[in-house]
Amino acid sequence: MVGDTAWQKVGRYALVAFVAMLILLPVYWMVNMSFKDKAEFVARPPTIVVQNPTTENYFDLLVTQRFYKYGINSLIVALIAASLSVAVGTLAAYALSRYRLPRNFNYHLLFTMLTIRMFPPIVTIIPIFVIFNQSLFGFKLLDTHIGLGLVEAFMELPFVIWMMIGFFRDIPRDMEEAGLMDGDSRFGVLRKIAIPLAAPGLAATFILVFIASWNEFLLALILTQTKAQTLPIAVAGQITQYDIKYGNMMAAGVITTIPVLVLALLAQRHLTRGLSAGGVTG
Amino acid sequence: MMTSRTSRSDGHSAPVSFEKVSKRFGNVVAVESLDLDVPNGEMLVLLGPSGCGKTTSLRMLAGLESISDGTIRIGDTVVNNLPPRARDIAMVFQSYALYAHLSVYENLAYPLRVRKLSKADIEARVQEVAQVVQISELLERKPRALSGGQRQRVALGRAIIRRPSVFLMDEPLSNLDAKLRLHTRGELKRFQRELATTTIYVTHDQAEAMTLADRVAIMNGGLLQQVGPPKSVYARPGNAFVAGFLGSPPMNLLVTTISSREGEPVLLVGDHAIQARGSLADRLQRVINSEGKVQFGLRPEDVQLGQGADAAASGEVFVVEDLGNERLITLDLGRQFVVARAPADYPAEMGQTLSFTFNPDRAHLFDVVTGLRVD
Repeated sequence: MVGDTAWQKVGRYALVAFVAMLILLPVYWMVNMSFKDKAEFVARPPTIVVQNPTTENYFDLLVTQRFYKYGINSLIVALIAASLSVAVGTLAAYALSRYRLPRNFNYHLLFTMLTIRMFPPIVTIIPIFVIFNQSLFGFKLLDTHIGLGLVEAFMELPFVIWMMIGFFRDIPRDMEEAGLMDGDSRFGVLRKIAIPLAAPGLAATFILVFIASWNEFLLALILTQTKAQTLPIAVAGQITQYDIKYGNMMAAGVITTIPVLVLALLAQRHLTRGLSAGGVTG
Repeated sequence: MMTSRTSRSDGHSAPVSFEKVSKRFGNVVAVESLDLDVPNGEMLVLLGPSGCGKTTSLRMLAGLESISDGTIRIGDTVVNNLPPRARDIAMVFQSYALYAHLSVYENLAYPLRVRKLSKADIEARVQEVAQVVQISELLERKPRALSGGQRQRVALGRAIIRRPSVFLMDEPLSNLDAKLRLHTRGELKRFQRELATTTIYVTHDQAEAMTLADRVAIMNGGLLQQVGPPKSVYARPGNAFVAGFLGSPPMNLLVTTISSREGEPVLLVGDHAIQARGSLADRLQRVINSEGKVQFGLRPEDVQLGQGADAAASGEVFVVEDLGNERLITLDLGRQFVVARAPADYPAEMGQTLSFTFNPDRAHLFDVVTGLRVD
């Protein structure tokens, strides 16, 4: 800041460096270990920089285990979860932000939805498992992409609604009323005015739900077995009955992280615009 | 005859009528039993202070606010339960409410696209209207790249492009700077005359109301106070509120006691006396009031300053305000004040005592309690 002494500047940068290290050190360690062979893995003291880099961990994962199929599963599930929750949540948020229900019902609805996120997910998993294991029209939801996507969309729905309500509230009421006066329907106004104006928020919400679904472990562990297994489960799968494949786990971690990292970087502009909100002016 | 559920979209100007229309928000009455007829093609200005119910009345007509009681008609159609899109009304908002994400062209085209006009028709109409409101060279810009005056033109263009039966304008000039406001006011008046479409215009600015209106409807506290051509409402306000609201500076209103001195009727303000002569004396005869009090009204331009034996009253100069073309001289009559408009070079000093006369025909009398005109 203006007028800071040299020591204040040094102090500030030191603090930033410390926080960055706290966050980045585990990531560095994961990348570092993913290139170590079995011998270097157990070396004492551990090597800070890898001495004999090897790609055998990656080879084992990608070629022997065909790890990418879990990536495809994760992608499908995350797309289903994000699309579904954003589509449904946006409609709900719009309705709740524009129509006032009697007896403060708006608030009660919003609060009830929030309670979904209050209890631990494990509580609902057994009933969901039982339901998904029922055959409906000769079709079971257990171990399917759509099944897991549905549950994750449901879990993320309150988050989407709360996020989108904020963005819709930032849109000037006049602008939508002008749309109504110009002869449009409520749905037309939503589609042609409210959603384009809330687009940065919509994109940010979509990405956050996508990342949440991509990283989700517990639901995926119980609701999938072989066909729809996602990346986090496959990472944990490197712990076998006979040994723990540390190198594979680290490589799997790197492979799992890269796509969301790239996605977040690509969408950075949207994310910051969306998350800092209030971007609409007349 | 159309039924109440059909939409109206004949595209011709239509009259509007409010019949005993009320709006309540919980326990708060925003508009109470409003009766108002706006003939076809008229420019009616709804005038009043903020919170008087004028904007609520407009929004009820637009369909943006539900009606608690009464009937609103556009043409022969009862529109109480019609959505805004079925009422064939266009509106200019105070904030202009331009679509921030669309270009000027798309803003103008929006009402036409909703009506599914052909591409060629839309192009032709947008170009035509852009010419009329002089924004042809701005069509590619986004609203945020426009000045206040330009935005106002786009908003107006978007309202006229589909030739509605009724225009609604909610303080369309209040976001413009003073000079542009005067200019745009004149333009608006011309547009309205040329389009000859029923227009309801809401404002709290009495100068706008006086200049634009065919008739002005003054509201206060949710109640309609008076309706009429601006000149006649100005000349003969129906109550003390209207008298005090129209005119700048507003009418002087003094609470006085009817009395007599040396056989001549006078109005007492504290220990100051105002001589009541001619028609004023006759009118005072008709004021029957147990306390003998009456509210005396006189417009600043009707106060004629001057020394002399025929003075009707006198007071100490409280303050002198120069406006350049004239000066406003405020006289203190026992802590009630009389503002006079005087020529710019009229000699006056603070503390000096000045006398004034007035034409008795131009004095107004209002009831002290009800505020109603009593002569």
